[in-house]
Amino acid sequence: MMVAAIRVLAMRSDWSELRRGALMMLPLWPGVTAFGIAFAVLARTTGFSVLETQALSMLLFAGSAQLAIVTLAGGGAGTAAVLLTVLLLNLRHVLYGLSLNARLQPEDGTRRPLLAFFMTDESYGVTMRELLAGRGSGSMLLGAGLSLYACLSVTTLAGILFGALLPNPERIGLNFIFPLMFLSLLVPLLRSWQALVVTACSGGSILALREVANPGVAFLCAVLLAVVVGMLLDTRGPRGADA
Amino acid sequence: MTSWLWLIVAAALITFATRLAGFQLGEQRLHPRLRRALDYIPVAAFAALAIPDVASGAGAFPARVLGALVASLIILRFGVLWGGLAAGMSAFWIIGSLW
Repeated sequence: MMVAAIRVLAMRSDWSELRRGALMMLPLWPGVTAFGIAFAVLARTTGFSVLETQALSMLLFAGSAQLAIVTLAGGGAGTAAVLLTVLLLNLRHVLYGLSLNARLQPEDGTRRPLLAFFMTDESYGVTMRELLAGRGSGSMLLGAGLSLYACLSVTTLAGILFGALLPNPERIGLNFIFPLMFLSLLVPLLRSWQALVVTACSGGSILALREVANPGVAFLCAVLLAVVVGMLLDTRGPRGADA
Repeated sequence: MTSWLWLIVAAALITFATRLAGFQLGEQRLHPRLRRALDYIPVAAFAALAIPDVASGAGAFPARVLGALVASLIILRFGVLWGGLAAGMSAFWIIGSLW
């Protein structure tokens, strides 16, 4: 009886935390909608099937990695180069998990795989802010992630349907929304001179390297070179670039 | 075409592994220098993904550069992703049609 009552209370608080997390992501829905539609149109334009496009959003659920796969695989890069790029793009998640793990409740330990699958930059950001203020929970992280997941899944499907109605997406230059998307992710991160140097290094090297190497290898070399340069420049301060 | 589905499944497993790894590693501390190096990965990766397609790609070069500039300014000023994308694409289309 007692156990049952506690279980009901736990479920109730779980539900309210889930809901809080989901609602905290609402302001991001327009951005996710723009991304989902643009991503689906780009993937279809590049030659990815309906199933593959939807699978990218629902299995990966990682915007920058999804775009990288479409660009690199669509541009003829090899499997190893694409997968290494995905790994490189997603390594930051390891840090999110490390910092969350120290602050979540022990009972969240058993559902780590569930929390991990739905964790994004955004859901990590809002949940960590709450956890640092003595609130927040694993359920909030999950709610925030599920909210973004639902939005991205539906808008990817909308983009697939909407894209089919367009007469010729390539002719009107819809592909250009792709570099614009990455610029929009990049520009807010340029808050230090080191970050600017890293950007120049990465951009300069990929322009040179893609003349002599395949897109995936050029990308990996450019990024690794730029990260090493950034690490060498970064001699002081707790943080060089906010990411 | 079908080979991409397996690539996507493999990429999904890698993505999931990176998300889970931090949780499973517990409270081990990373060297601060390594932590800061990881902070540069998104910057370097986004630059390497954006810059080649602005340098050469769909449409006229001036339209791409001005579209990129407009999108950057809007995202800096307002911090809204769709605002930057809409303004950048508009600039790209308008200048491209004039070119």
